[in-house]
Amino acid sequence: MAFIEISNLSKSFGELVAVDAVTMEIAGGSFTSFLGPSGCGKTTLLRMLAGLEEPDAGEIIVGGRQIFSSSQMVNISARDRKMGLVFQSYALWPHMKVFDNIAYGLKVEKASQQDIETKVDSLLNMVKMEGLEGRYPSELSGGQQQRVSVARMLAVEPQILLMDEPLSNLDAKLRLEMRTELKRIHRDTGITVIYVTHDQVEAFGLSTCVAVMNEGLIQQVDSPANIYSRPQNLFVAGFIGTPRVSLIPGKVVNGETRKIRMEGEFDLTFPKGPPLKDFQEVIVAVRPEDLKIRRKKGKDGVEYLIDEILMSGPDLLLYLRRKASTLLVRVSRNFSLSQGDKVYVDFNPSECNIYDRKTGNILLA
Amino acid sequence: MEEIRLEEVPTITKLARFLKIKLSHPWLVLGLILLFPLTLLIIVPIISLIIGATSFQLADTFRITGAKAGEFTLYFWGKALSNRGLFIQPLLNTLLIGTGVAVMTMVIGCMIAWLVSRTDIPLKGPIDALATLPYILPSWALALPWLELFRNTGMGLGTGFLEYATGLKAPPWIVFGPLPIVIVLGLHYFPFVFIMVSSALRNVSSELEEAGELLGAGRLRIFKTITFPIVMPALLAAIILSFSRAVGTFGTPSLLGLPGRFTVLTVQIKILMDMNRQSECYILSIILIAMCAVIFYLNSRVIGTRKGFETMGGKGVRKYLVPLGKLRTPISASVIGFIVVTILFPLGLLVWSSFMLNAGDYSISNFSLQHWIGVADPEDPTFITGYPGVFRHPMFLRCFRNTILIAVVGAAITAFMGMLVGYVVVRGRGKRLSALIESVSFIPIMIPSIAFGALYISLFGASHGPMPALYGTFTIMILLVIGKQMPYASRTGVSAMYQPSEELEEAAEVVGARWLKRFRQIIWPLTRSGFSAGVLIVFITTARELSLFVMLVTSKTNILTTLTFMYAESGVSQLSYALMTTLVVLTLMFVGIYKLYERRSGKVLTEKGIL
Repeated sequence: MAFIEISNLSKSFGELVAVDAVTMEIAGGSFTSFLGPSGCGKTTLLRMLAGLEEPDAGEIIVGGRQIFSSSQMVNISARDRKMGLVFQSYALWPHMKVFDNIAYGLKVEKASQQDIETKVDSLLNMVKMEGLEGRYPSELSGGQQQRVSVARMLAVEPQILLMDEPLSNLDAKLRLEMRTELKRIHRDTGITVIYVTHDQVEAFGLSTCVAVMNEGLIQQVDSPANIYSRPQNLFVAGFIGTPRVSLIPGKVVNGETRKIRMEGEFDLTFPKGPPLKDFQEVIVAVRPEDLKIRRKKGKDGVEYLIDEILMSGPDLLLYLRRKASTLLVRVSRNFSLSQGDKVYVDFNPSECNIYDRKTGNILLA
Repeated sequence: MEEIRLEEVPTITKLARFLKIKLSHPWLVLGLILLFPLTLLIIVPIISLIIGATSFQLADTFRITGAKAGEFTLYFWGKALSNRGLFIQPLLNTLLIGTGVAVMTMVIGCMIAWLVSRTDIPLKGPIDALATLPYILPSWALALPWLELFRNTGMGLGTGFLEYATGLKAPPWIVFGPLPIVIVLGLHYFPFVFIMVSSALRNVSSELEEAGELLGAGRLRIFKTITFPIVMPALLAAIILSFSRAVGTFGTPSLLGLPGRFTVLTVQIKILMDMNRQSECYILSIILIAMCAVIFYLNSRVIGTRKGFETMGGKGVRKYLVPLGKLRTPISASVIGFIVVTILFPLGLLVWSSFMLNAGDYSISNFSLQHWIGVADPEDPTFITGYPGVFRHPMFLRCFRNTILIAVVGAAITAFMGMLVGYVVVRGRGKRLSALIESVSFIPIMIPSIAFGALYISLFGASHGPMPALYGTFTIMILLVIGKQMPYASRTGVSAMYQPSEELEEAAEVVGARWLKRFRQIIWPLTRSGFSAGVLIVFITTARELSLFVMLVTSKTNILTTLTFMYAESGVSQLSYALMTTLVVLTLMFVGIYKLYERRSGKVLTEKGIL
């Protein structure tokens, strides 16, 4: 039994379905991210876990204890759930000093003054804020405020730490620094972290497990590596990865041998996997960095023309065209190419994923 | 580990759990609790007034044969509404005053607003301050100097300043009647229009007008098609506000109308109450309330959807100021001169007259402190009125104490309730209960003060079950304050509660704090300045309020304003001047404290125009 079990959890705001019968499990000690575009329901899901938003239906079980159930009318209040929540806006109490912000939860628990001081000291140490306990939040930088906000929640030793886009208000450099800090804190405390973000780099860098959400539905829950290389449906394939994946429509000409006639009039054969249905409409997804190009036609090279070349720092992005079909390829910046050149692309079938065009679900990976 | 059983739980357990979940929302619980006092102080009195107006009162049984107290009747409605002297004429007079005041406030308010916000007129700061001054004063503060200025021996009222200085005797229609009422009220209410229109004008970026200009529109066309439509909602709201205030006010029309037999509805309500004809008094109150309610409704219908204009432009609004050229100085001087002559001169006259031993003699030799600190000694040659000076007057001291008591206690309770209303409204945003709480607490703004007094007499005048009759007690005076000032207090409360984000409270909830603790330790410290603002606002508006209390005071609960009015009404003028001077000084002092407080806390605590 997983540490957190969410079943059929739903929440609507008027006509808008924010979270649509979500069912998932989260392992104890994991760092799980809810990743999705804005408005996908990830923050609502997080707030329902925290007990700040009342679900319309469903059930939440944490550590074997039912904390919400619509059928049995159970709704443990936020203050009894033993979870911490780090807000996007930090939500530090502006009228309290750093020390009092962190000590607040301990005072609520009626801890002794000495315990409070020891605890706050060690937390300040953990988030590297020693010596700043006398400051007011308005006297701190964004990054420092975020550290206090994390320490404040860790003070009450929650089982679960929820974070709602905690780094989105920081500038790029600080964000990178805080990312490593969060990872260290997670390692040091062993706490279960649930993290909401729309930034896939952040989610991949921090998480042991990523749940991709869209329109209130969980699209895929998996390790970052699998999410990236084996998206379970077209939404995840298209949402994950910059530059984006190329999606090429095709039609199965021989299901038995997995031979597909691609848009742009060329054939690809996939050596491994279960048979496909003859004449099935499919979409082949391939990431720009998984393609190889050559100047000369090799054994299986497919001829394309270079439409546009974009320099992206370490690499070049090539926008290729073959008849009506387009393709995005990432190559080393050492290639000397120019617009209008003819190139040959090697598709490596083991790096491609094939999706059903109608359902959008994966057929062959 | 708690065992999870998935079988059906009993309905009763479910119901209990359901209630527990619902009651874990503090705003909901608080809203339900607030519903009780709000209903008692606002809804029940209205029902009680309607019942009172449709049934025989005890006093009626002595006048009308066959009438039984408490019995349903429409007897008075037909009688009152067809009676010219009792109802029709006062109604027409009321509409006349309302319209006159609306026109006057619009003209003066718009002119000064345009000059201050759209031209390069010098001395904007002083003009702005002077133009908001009249509204701070009690609404009838200028009625007393008006009489002092224009009364004359020709009317048998003794010499006034005009007659003393020039020998001219003002005709009666200048001394009493609609003209002086409209002028005095117009001077009191024009700051409404000034404040609202100038802030609307300030928010019209001249880029909007410049865009029109670039597209080839002329000055007049730009004004007609761009500037005016944007300012219109604010202007309309301000005019409607001054109309409704003018028809609901009591002091000025009573002092400047009644001796000349010009009666408006508010005055008629008081007369009927004094004559113990309560049913008719209640009927007129209902009509007055209905009138104001209709106006407010129309206002919200007409401009409701267009209110958004006021916030357009926002930050960094650039303005092109119309150059007044050579006329800059003369125009500025005449605006300041206008306010000095119409506001400061009368106030000066008021103060000066309070230092005159004998009425009508403005010479230095007549200067005396008799009306301030004199004793009532019949042997004393300076003994004139039979009353001691205000500061020796036991009645004054008692009224002063009563005013402070009622205003302080009332303000503290009202402002605190306002904060709670604010919490419910902000946290329960979009929910039916919070919308209900918000609209109920807003109702009293539509009820003129004197009619509000009538409401409370109809309800609290007699005992109901365990609740004793409250007439003549401090309790009813304080309840009046709470009920009538609730709209202002709750508006202040709502804007205070919007300040700290909800997440600050959620953060405390997540770390385990119960609601009372969260309220005390998180919300209250962050909204306290709103509470203080609410206290000051309610205190100031209560301390200068006459109409609300005039029908309810007894010799025990008498307050400064009603005492002043009593002396003014019975012709003990110098004493009433001294009292009014005290009131004005008191009000200005507290407004000063409020402004200081606002400046120190560094933010605007209330919407402009409440104070």
